[in-house]
Amino acid sequence: MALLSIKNLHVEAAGKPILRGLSLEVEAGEVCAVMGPNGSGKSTLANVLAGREGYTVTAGEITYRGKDLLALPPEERAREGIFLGFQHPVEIPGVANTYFLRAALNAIRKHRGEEELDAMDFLAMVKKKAKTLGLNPDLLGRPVNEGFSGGEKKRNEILQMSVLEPRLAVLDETDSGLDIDALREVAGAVQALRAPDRAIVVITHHQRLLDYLVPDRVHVLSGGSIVTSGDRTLAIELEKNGYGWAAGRTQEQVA
Amino acid sequence: MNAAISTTDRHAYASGFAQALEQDTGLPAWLTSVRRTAFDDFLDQGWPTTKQEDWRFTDVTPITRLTMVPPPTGKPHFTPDHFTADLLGLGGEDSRRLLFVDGRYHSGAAKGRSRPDGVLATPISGALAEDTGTLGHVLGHHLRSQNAFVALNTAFLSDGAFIRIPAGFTSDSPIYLVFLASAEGSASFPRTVVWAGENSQATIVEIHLGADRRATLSNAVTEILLEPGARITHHGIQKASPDASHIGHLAVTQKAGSVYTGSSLALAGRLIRNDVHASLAEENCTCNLNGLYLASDTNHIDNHTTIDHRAPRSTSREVYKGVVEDRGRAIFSGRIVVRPAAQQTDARQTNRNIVLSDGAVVHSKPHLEIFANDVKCSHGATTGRLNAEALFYLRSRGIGEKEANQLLIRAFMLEGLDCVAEGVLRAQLERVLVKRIEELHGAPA
Repeated sequence: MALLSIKNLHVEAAGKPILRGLSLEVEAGEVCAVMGPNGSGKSTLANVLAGREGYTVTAGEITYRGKDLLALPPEERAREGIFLGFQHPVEIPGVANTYFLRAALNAIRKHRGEEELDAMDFLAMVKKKAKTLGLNPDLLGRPVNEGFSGGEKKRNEILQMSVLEPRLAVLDETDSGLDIDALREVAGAVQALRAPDRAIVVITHHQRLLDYLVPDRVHVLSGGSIVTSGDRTLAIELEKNGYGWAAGRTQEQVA
Repeated sequence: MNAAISTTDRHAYASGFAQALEQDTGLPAWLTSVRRTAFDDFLDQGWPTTKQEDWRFTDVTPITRLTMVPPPTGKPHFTPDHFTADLLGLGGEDSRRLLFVDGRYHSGAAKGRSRPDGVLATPISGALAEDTGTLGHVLGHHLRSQNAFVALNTAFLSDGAFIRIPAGFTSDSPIYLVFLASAEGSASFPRTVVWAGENSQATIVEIHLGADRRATLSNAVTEILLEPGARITHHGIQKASPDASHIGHLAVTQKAGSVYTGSSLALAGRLIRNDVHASLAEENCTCNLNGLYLASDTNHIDNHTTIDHRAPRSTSREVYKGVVEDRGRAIFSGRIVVRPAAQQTDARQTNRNIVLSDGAVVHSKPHLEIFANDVKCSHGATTGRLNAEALFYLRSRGIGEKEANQLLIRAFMLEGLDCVAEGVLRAQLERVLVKRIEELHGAPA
């Protein structure tokens, strides 16, 4: 059974249909890329998976580890192992990064029936991980994302992912706003988090990220549904021929 | 426009007043005369009503109906161990502390009164009996309002705290004043008088507490005079019982180059009304007013402030922030006056409110009266919900909705402490605030 199974998903935002019959299966252990032009519904997919308000599912279903995902509030999804890497990480003045992350980790551990980590053990662990990610340790004590540069925010997302150890990570345009060096480092960090029991869904509209984080599968999202799927060579062809080509390819297949 | 005091109430107050005068023996004649005048003044003017702009949103009728006077002297209605400043985690072993129960000094819980440094922190009753001759220089001289509550406070004035900081004295160790309202159906009239000498520096923490579930009225007046170059930090904390009311009047007079930093934490009470009047009487003063409030249940919290720039080159910064929920009400009225002489005034005011429920109400009214032309003045007020994006971000990481709410409320409120306190005192105030937030929103899991 797939880790995540999306069937015929229809989603509206502000009364406007965005996803129109999207189906997608994600297996444990795989890295898959969801690519598509602006406005194709990529971020909507990510947000619906994480449970953000403001989206109405009008048809279809999402099954995650055999459960009806749409019935769970966002925090339950996170505790069940879903992680959304935000396209625009939110600044939260007054809440220290480490305090926030420890509260999150302990909520997840508690849910799993594991013991909570005390502040000292947690700090040692998170410092080590920050170092591996090239994240300035000073940022740990600062309020969540407040005054962080674009790159720092994205690294902070990946730090959270590495601390929370999700089963399904959905990274929404984690590459946007990163320069080449930062992109390579962040991609490398995500690459290092690949694991047999973990699936990573990378949402992007550039194939650049995929040079460093090689996907097992590539899905093209256009007009609210997956129009074509393939292996990593699909991403390279897309880069060469554009999304119009991908949409045409589907029509050919259908014809 | 005031509401006249009924004949029945006149009799009740008059007998309470007569009884108080009888009990308060050993007070100097001048004070008795001041008290009589204030009492007559109270009877003459009557209660403020919602027809007056300053009381538009605060109806004091429920208070006025009770004709509350001080309880008879005798044993205080509480056990000191149960409710002292230490319970709040305030006041370490080294600090000075004065405790007042129902308006009267309670010697049992005093600490560090006599010190060789010349600082006087003494009950007013003691200062009057010893007639040190200095209290009379300040008391009543700097009040700029004589509404019924201020008049009543003076009429029933028999005790309170008198603090005199000698010129040049500086200390970072706070002086704690704790006022506990305990006797059911009674009123207390705490008076605090602070006289900060030239270039002196001190921190005063004024705590008004209500004993559990007692219907009381705490009608407090605080007068603070800052001589040139004095720096006073003054924290007021009000946590009344759900059936109790607190009416506070704070008058600050600043002379040249003085710095007053005041904060107010209004944590609970059926009705809390804080009037602050800061007079920047001479040049180059700095006045920082900060207020934090939590209006839950049916709490009604009303902050009325006036910062009066009367001389050139003074700066004022005012930030009031609060969280209002259930059927709570919060009122902020911030008046800034810049007189013709007060050129190069720099005044900024901010009021931010978070409303958590549909039944909660906020009234925010900035009010600038500028009569000088070379000034910088700004004000801003916002009222809104908790940031939905931030809530989702926290929840998407596994933090439950309730805890996420609590975290954001904490962050919003604690930010307000950053500019008023540091070190140990900052931590103490944070503990008090967090404790109250946790009472309302649960402790983190």
